[in-house]
Amino acid sequence: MTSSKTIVLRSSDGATFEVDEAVALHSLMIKHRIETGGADSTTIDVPEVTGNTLSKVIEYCKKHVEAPNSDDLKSFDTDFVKVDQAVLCHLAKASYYMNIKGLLDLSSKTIADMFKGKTVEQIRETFHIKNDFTPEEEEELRKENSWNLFV
Amino acid sequence: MKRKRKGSVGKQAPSKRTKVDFFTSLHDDIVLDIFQKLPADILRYKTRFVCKRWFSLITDRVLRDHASFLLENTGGSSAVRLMDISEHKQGLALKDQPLELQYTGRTKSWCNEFLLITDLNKQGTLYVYNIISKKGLFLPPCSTSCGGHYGCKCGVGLSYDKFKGVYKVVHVFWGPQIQCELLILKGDIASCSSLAWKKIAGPYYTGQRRYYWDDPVSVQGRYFHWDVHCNKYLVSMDTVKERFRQTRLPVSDVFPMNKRYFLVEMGGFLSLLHNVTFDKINIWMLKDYQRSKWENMQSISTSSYLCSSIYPGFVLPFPVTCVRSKRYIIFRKPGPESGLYSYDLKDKVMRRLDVDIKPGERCVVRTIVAAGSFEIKA
Repeated sequence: MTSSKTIVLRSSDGATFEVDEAVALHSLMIKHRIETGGADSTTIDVPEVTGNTLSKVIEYCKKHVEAPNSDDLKSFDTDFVKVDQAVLCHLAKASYYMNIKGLLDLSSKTIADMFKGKTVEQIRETFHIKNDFTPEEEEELRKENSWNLFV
Repeated sequence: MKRKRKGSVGKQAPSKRTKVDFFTSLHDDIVLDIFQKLPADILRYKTRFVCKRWFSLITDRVLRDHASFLLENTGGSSAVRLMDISEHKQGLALKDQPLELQYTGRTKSWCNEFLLITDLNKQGTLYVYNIISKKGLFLPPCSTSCGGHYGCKCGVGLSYDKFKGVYKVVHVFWGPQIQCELLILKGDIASCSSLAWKKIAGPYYTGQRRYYWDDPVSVQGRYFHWDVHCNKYLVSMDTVKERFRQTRLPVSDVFPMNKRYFLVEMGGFLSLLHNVTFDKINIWMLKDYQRSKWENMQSISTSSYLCSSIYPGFVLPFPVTCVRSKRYIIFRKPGPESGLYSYDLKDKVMRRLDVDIKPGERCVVRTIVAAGSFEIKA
């Protein structure tokens, strides 16, 4: 690849990041913007994503674009999502908004794995979810499912 | 468990002690993407009950507890009936709507939104039709001389390989040597111009089938099973690995296995309904395909009125499909007074469904495979 064109991405809080075009194109949303943007498409605003998150997203795209066949890609991904819940949430949202399938898959899989082996109450505690069923509703649901022999 | 939180008035100011629901700010599409990575049973019996939002997302968008099948005339038609059975609190709801296909033929298989149809007028050329986009494609003729897929010497099925994101047409032809070939349909079906059938090794065991073959029962859109009229084995194929094998039938001391059984998919598993007497059925479920492990589920009693008597014997009702929660099995009473029935495994009741079905109408069951690829709206 001979093209060394760069794109500037600007986050919601005004931080700017200069990246190779090839790396930026890993986001289908940015690809679409560039293809339909016309002459002045060297700076792309990404108002849904903060600087901190955008920086991480770019790190992910760089690795996947520049070294897609490297042996340590898997371990890179595994370490990449060893972050706290808030960051994981921001990564999922950013990857959805920026249309980066690989990162969305990685984030959702990580979140899905957090469900394993947990009871309903433990899931609520882990993710701070309020139980909005009334006791009557819960009882009815429990009764409806008590017959099943298949699980 | 008490939530440690400082009381706050009016607007909730974020405080270090108040933990925000992780999922509140996530769009439904993202939440669905997470749920789709969990096994269906966990979603159905656990995850659903966390909160109301999850309950409706999982029930309506992920589990989609519908059993769908087509009713079409045996002679082939372009107007078929789409039967959709869904489960509600009060029981089953049945929808019967006409579906106009832009094609006339005999539907052999149905996976997701694709029908595999054989054209009775063109020596049985295969046609793949998308019922949502209403577009279709003729498939190249297969290399065996089976004479058109509507005789009794071959069976076809449409499977979906969710790992590779491709559909596969599986064609098994009783030659008299048993032969098999596959056609792989990538991505956008309308753009498949250079398709070629690929021969694969056929099953070396074919049971009692000496003269004919037929269409398989599809499980999860991945495992195909053929009843080969044998009391010891089935013939199965893992369409992802593209490999045949024998599946040993379950063994029971109380009711030795004979040939009076039917195969049906139940909630993602192959089930064998063994008619141990004319009105009692033992249900076996193939819980583990790799290890051929069967589990004896419950027994059900159908009733003598469900058999169709053809002197000197009778024809048993056969299962058509099952709702995904596995609670209701849909049976068809064969014969001139044909009807559809649902058996409720919880209340142990057989009920006739309020739908007209003619003896000349055949059922083609839909297999829904949740696609591995997730489409993000631009």
